[in-house]
Amino acid sequence: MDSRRITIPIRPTRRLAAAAVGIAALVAAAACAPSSGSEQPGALPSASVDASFDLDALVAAAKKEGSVLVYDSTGDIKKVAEAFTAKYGIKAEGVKSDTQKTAEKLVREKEAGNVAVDLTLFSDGPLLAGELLPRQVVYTWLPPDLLKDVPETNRNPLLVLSKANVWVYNPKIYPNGCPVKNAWELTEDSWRGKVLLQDPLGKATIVQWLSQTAGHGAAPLADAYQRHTGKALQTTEKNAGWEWVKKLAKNKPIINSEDENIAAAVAAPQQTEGRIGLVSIAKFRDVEGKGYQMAVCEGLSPWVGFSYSKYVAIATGTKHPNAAKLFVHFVMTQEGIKHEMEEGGVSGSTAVPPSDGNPKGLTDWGTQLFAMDPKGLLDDYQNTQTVQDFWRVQHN
Amino acid sequence: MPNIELIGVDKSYVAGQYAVRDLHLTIPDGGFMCLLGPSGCGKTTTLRMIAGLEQPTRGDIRVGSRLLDSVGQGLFVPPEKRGMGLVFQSYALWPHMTVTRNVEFGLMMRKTPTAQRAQRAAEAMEMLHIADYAARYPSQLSGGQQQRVALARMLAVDPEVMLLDEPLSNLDARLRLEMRAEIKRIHQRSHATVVLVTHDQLEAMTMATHVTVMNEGVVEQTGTPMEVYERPASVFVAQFVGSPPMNTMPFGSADVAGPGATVADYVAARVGRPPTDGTGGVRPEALHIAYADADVPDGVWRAPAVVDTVLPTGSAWTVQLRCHGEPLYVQSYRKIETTPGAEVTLWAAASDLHVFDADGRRMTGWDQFLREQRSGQRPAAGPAVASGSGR
Amino acid sequence: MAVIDRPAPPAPPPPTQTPASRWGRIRYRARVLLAEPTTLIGIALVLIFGYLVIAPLVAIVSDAARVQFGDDSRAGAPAGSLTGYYLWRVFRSPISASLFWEPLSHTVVVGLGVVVFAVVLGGSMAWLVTRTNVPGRKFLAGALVVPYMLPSWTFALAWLTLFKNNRSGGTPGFLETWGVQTPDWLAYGAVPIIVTLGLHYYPFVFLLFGNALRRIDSQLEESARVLGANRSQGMRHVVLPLLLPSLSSAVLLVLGRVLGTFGTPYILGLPTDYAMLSTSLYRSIHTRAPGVAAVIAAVIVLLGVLVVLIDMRLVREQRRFVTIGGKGSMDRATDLRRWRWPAYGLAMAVFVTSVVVPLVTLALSTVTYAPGVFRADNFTLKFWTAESIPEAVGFPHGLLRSGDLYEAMWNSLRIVGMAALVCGLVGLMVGYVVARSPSRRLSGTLRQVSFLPYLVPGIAFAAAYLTLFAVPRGPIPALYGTTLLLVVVMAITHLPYSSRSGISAMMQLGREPEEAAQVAGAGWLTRLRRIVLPIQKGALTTGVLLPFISGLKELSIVIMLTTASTPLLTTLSINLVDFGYRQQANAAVLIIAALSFTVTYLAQRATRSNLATGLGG
Repeated sequence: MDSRRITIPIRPTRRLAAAAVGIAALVAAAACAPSSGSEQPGALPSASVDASFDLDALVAAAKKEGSVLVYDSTGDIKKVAEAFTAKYGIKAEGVKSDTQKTAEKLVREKEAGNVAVDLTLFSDGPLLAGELLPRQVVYTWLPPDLLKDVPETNRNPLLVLSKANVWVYNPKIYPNGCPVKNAWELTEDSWRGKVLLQDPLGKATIVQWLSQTAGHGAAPLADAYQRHTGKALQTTEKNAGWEWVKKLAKNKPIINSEDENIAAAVAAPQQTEGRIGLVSIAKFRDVEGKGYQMAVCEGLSPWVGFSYSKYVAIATGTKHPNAAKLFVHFVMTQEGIKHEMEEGGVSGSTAVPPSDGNPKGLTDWGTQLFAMDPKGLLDDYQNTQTVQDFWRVQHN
Repeated sequence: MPNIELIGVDKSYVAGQYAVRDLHLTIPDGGFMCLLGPSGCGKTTTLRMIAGLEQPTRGDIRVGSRLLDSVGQGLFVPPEKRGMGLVFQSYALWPHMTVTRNVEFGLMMRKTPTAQRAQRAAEAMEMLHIADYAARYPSQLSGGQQQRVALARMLAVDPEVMLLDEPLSNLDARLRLEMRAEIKRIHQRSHATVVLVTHDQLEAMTMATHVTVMNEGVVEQTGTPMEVYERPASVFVAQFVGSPPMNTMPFGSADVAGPGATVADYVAARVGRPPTDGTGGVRPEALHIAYADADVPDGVWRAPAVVDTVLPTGSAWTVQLRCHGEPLYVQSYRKIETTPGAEVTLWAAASDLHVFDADGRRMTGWDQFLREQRSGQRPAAGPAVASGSGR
Repeated sequence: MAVIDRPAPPAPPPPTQTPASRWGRIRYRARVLLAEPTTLIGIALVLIFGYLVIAPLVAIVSDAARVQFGDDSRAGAPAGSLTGYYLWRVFRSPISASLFWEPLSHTVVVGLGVVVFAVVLGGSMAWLVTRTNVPGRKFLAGALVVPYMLPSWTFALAWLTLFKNNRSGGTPGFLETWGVQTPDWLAYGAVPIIVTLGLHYYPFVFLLFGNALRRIDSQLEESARVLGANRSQGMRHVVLPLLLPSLSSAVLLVLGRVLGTFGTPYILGLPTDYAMLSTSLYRSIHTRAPGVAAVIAAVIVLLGVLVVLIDMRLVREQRRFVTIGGKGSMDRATDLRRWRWPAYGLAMAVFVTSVVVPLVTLALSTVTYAPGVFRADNFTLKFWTAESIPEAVGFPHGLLRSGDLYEAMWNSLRIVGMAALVCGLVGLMVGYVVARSPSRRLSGTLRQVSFLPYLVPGIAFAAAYLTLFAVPRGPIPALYGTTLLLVVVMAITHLPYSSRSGISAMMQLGREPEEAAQVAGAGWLTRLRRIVLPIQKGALTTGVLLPFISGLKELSIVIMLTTASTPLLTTLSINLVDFGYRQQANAAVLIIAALSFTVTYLAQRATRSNLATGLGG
């Protein structure tokens, strides 16, 4: 851990020295502006379940609190909030903010003891499980009356909704269906420089996907390799998962800042070159309006994409705990979550019917998609940097 | 109409270096004091200290019975509460206000009622002949007009103390003459105490009732213009006041034999004891040229010289000569007929000689001698020359 | 009887003088200080900036030396303890090349490239507009500033629309549809980043250079010519040295922005993996690696401080120039003769590339269903005006039909406008103190500290402010979540524009107009209100407009510091992007640009001022 190689190209003058002393003095001032705490990461705290639960009492208590503020990474949250207000008469406000900003805000609000955000629908599972929950910035509350429909694995953290990213192709160029049948084809020369991804170094869901693929995606990928080439995979990496990530990175995929651009690259009307891209199913919204030719890469083995999860958690210091709980309850019902499922998605509650907005070709989430393992969230959190470093080295 | 007193005032910006040092100055009621000196002598600093724009590091400043600055007592009256008037060298008119608004500003600050304000401003503008430009902005005026606005702006509030910082230095010669008269007229009318800073000795001589000559932060001499002209207290003053400047000759500069060849010899011959070191001086207009020895009166100081050039100015003739290797000037209002290279004799009456000691201060002993001589206590060493040929 | 003796000693001082005691002297100085509040205001400003600029900065940078949550096993120390891990990771680890060194070298390349590009473009345009008889000078003077009012990514968008090759797929670029295969280096990476950032930031050079050129008396050049210097010698020995301070100032502003902008480099660099420090920082923040982010942020700030120090040295030189060019500045235009119209063509070409192309690209994207398809049936105005767009569930009407738009416009105008006004006034006060304070240390400190916010990424600042203002600290109440805090923070982060314009304006205004008012009986506030502000209204307008223009484009601070949603134009636009309503989102961006332009135009008309007059040296 040698860090002494930095040479600062300023000749140290007396003024600089004085400035340094001044800054050192201000470190004291900065001590009152801590940007991170000193808690230890630990195991996931257990979810909170109320001993006695009475929905009517919760509604009454929530009404007394008057309002609730919820942060989410999608703008759909506004509609959810409106629906909540319409149903309960409690002023609810939904704000769109990306996960990183939401996390930063939650942590700092908690540290300062001035909590404004009451709860969040949070799609960065590793960050939630690895940092926000253990640091008790937020906690998981389970609505007892709905628990029967929530599988045990999805309760801590509480899964609200699964969303998916899928590989897409252009059916106008490939009228006979997806040109790629096996995930390993994406790592071959024929697709060199033609696979489009979002930035694994900047986009949390992509990192998580790579991390989980490398972790517990190994066996299906090894099988797929066998099927594709007819022989078993020989690898110097830890397993087939890492090998696939490595080969994908080395095959010069085109990195894009937004999946909007990827959708356009694959499916724009004038496009004549074959591309494969990984995009969120939300991009199927308004495909026709734009004249896009985009289809799910059905039949891609082992998976046509991956699903990722959005969880719900209540801020520990909330001033509206009951309204927040009621909101959690609300988004665990069809009435609440349907507004976020218009472009597809699967609710965390089995009582909510699947969305009719899922894109064509994506019919069975359980088998078609690589599902993130909720037990792996903590590992993902720890691995984020490792996976990114791995990607950096292989991609360059 | 108070008198202004500066008592033991020091001003230093950097420790150990003084812009003004141990200044004692009294400016009488209704007087017109001119602070005269070369640039950097501390005269503007002094003016700004009176205005309150600069603060002394030591000493007191009072106007009348009112103590404005007292470093000792920790007392300071800010400039806006001093009620003075100040005209800047750059005029400092406010570019965003019309002439009228500029002139009215001070009255507005004094909360003069609107009607009265308009009337007083109109009077001031009338007095300075700028009423026609009342609605213009300063940028639409010529330099002379701007100067008049600056004066009107000061006059409108009718201050008891008027401070003028080189107000004429940006004007051309004709306008300067005109404005000199204007300012003098203003002073005579208002009876205010005026302090004017200038490096132009003519300005000081023509306008002021009192002159203070400053050099390197120290007062060299204070007095009426005639006192300063006739009895300069130091070589510095002697050379600064008067145009062309006073001729000065170090005592030791001449080695021509014979009595009267050098000032030192001449002085020693009359007061008995030879001064060790010092400077003699004589004003160009008190110096006379004689073409023959016979023309030189008895008892006067005399010296041989060679003519270098003749510079006619129209009303007068200035002749540059060389005497014991030193350049000298003679000024005469009568035509001088000589040619370069001509050998002549210079002479001056004893009463026109100024004698300074080694430090450049005026020797009181010589003045005393002349006084005694005039009152007959001493025998005349030669015929008293009532007035020089050029006077 | 004394004959010749020494002169009489000076008369003893009159008895009225009070002996100077130490206590008296202290009281005297206190009185003077209180009568003239420059120093007090200066100290107050330093304290305020210490709290609002330095403390958050230290908080941000201090993360670099402390183990962050979750890094304990990697750093080998518990979270919160001191560590050199992040320094090691950024500077020495196996990935430091891709994380830091490569981005650093790219930043240097792009920085120099953008500076050269902007100086050449802005400098030549400034010369044409201020010193020649090129046709349409007046129009160009206003039009060439517009690029700064557009968000920088619009240039990236325009670039891709034109030059995109099939590497990233999608709608091909125009050149490619015409059969020109654009190479990767032209489509992505250093060249497009340099050109787009250069096109966005050359207005700084244009404004500063133009202003300096306007102030230089052409007699100075002419006297050099009379003394036998030929045109280029006169330029080299007389004009260029006089322009140097404004050049350095412009370079500083441009470099500061290049160091901190991530949008354009991110969009244009990603397809060929061309990373800069700003993209590295952005990625670290977005994948929550605060330790690494802090190290990179610190490097960016250090680079910025280095540039500021160089600039300060040059500005110090400039003080010697102040007396020059005083009155009667001759605005003698060079007659271009037969080059007049070619020069006009060149200027119009710059106008077209830097203003028309990005604007039209943006405008086209709001009136087409599919981007880049030019068929009659692909065009529509419905995203602007339709009463109902049933397929856009989240925003089912044209942008102009939406009440949200007008609410957002009003909020933007109100909040950003207030912040900009605060900014302008504080900036002028900074200028006042810097120019008037007798203490060089005080003015130097203010000058530097008030520029620092320019170099710190907004999101990092905003996060630190949340911590600072979430709870009451001493006399400062918990402002978190209030509009007031948003205004304060926006004002602070955009202060550098105002303080620069304030400093340069006050440096040029002598003390005398104010002293004249003081002697006339005006107290400090009256002087400020009646003399300084009216005379400086041009600089004040600039000091308000520049923060306003850049504040309208602000996003991170708004999201971080508001608790509930106060919809601004930027948040409206980003929400529309999120819904996938690209057309309406871009329409909102156009409205931001239009608002910037309108307000700028009106303010300049009302105060008869010019953005350029304020920025100065």
